Amino acid sequence: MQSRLQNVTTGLSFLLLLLVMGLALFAMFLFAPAERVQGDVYRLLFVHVPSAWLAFLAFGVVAFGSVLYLIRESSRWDRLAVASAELGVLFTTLALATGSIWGRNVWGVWWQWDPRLTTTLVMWFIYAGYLALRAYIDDSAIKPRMAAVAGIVGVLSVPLVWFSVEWWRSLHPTPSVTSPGGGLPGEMLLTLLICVAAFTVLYGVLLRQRMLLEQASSLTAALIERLHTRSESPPQ
Amino acid sequence: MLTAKDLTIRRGHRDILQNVTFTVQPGERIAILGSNGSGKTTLLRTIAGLLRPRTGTIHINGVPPVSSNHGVRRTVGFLGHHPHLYPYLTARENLQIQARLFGMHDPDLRIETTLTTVGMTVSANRHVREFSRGMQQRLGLGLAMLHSPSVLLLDEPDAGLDPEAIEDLPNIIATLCPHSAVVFSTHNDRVVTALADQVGRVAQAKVHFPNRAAKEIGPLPANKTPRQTGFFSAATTLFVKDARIEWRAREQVPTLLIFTLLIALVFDMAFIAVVKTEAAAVATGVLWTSVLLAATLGGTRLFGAEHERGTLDGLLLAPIDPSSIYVAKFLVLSIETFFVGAMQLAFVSLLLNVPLLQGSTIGALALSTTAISAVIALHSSLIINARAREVLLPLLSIPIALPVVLAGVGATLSTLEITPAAQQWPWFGLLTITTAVFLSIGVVLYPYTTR
Repeated sequence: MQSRLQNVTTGLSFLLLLLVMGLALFAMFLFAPAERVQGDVYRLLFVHVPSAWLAFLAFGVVAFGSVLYLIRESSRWDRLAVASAELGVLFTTLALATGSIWGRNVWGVWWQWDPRLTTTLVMWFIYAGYLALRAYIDDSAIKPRMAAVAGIVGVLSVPLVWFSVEWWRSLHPTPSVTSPGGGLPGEMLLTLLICVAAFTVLYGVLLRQRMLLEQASSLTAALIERLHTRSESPPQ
Repeated sequence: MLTAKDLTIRRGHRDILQNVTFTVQPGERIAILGSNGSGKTTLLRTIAGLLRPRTGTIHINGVPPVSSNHGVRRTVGFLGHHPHLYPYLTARENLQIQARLFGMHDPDLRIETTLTTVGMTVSANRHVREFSRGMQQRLGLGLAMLHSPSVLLLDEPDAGLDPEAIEDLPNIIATLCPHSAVVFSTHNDRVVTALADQVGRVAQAKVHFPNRAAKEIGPLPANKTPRQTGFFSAATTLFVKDARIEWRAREQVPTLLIFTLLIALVFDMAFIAVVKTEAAAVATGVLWTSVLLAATLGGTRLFGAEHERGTLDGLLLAPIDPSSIYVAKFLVLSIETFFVGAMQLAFVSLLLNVPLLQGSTIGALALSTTAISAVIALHSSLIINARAREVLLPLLSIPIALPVVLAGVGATLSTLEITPAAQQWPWFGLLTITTAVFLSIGVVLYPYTTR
């Protein structure tokens, strides 16, 4: 019964994803007009901004799962944290890559020592370290606890990195969606909002699938261990 | 009295022991026998509170050993595979530290009695590293029994002992812990015959007790309630212990100092002699990079050395707030890194003729070494059970320490008047905030790494 419900939910979530991603692609390439100065290259914004937003959301979810794991010690929260950390690294990579391609066209270089770019890369390293810690601890009894502590330290350091960046002179544009007078034109803003929504659905679907995969992997490991134990013990 | 009820202990995805139930009365001694890997050590470590059972309960005098009540640990004595001894401390100093951490009354008298009973009076002032395996085991037995625990857990107490010392084991226990409930594991039949009232056999994840009968127990003498060991008292004891070990072993500071001076030389040569970069900018960059590297290298063995020696188990079994262990380690690393950084400051100033030796730079160094050490000490505790620890620690700590390095560089550039002097204070503000945040995170989160 639970399995059937799970299959139905998975099917519906993929259908929703297909719809919103289709809408986002339409808005991104056909609805939003070309930018007057940058031409079509600005359309990278529709992947860059949602990716950056999801990177922060994902790392917030890592901290949320980590805190709840330390309080409740339920493996469900550990699965949430690890799944979200992997997606956070994925979306940070996407934000950095799209930002770099955009920078090559607008600034003329692939990489600028702009503080925000640099600290986004630092954030990527923080969570790469989190995943490495998980990979290098073999004892599954202590791994989630150690990872939870690293996950909380990582997210608490993000505001510090952010403020240290603010104190350096940044090349990065100020938030153009909210700035008075300098906001995006209507079609571009609407497209950006659709893309943010579509990418958030993508994150949600991937998160759920990754958590299910982690659960299945854990169950498989337990079954293999049980088989080993049975084959090692002498016949009754 | 020790009570274990329906205990199931899981390691990884496998149940090592299932549904273990037994009670040990005060003065009773139970031997746990079984083949290698059957789960004897795991059972003893679980009863001690070092591991958590998957299901079931353990009570020592009515209180679970894994609880927020640190006092219950005062009632447990544990000798593991490795005696919880520090090689660069004397036998007496090892016992004195244990006595302080356990808040004992009249520790001097008890320490002398313990040394006499385990036959270590002559060697009391020698360093443990000079002892044979058997001498270390005898001292380890004394250490486990020093605070007269009501439950004594001994994992192969006869390991490394000569036949004469094995004969003496019942006398040692009878003298130091006559009323303790004793659970021990062994492969030696002579020890079983000499010590055990009851025998439990571990087989196929179960513990079987043939001929189980409760022992008659007479009236027990009232124990003096030990003093509560305070947070700062425990942290100070552990800090002094680590400082004394470093002073005698000289394992960390000299090597870190030479390493960082070498880094300064290589970077200065590369940037000044080859690239012809401005000296003040190079000096600033080299200073903060080498301080960060020194702290990272120093942190690799901060908890790792205690873990490898088995002494970390000893500290976790002491009735102290676990955060005091973190604070002591953080203090040691801070002072070591500050010393190395100060030497580096002088070296780079001389080498590049840059006036780095100023009050504000030293202040920035003090704040930043504190903040960096707080992060590294916490990460050092996370990696003790990980592979590739030497790579993992920098990977975890360096990105987190970035604001500290930025602030250090910013403050130093203002000191050297490369940037306006007024810009110095925001950097000091950031250094103060990072120090406060990282230290608070460490104190709050460290206990979770020990459970």
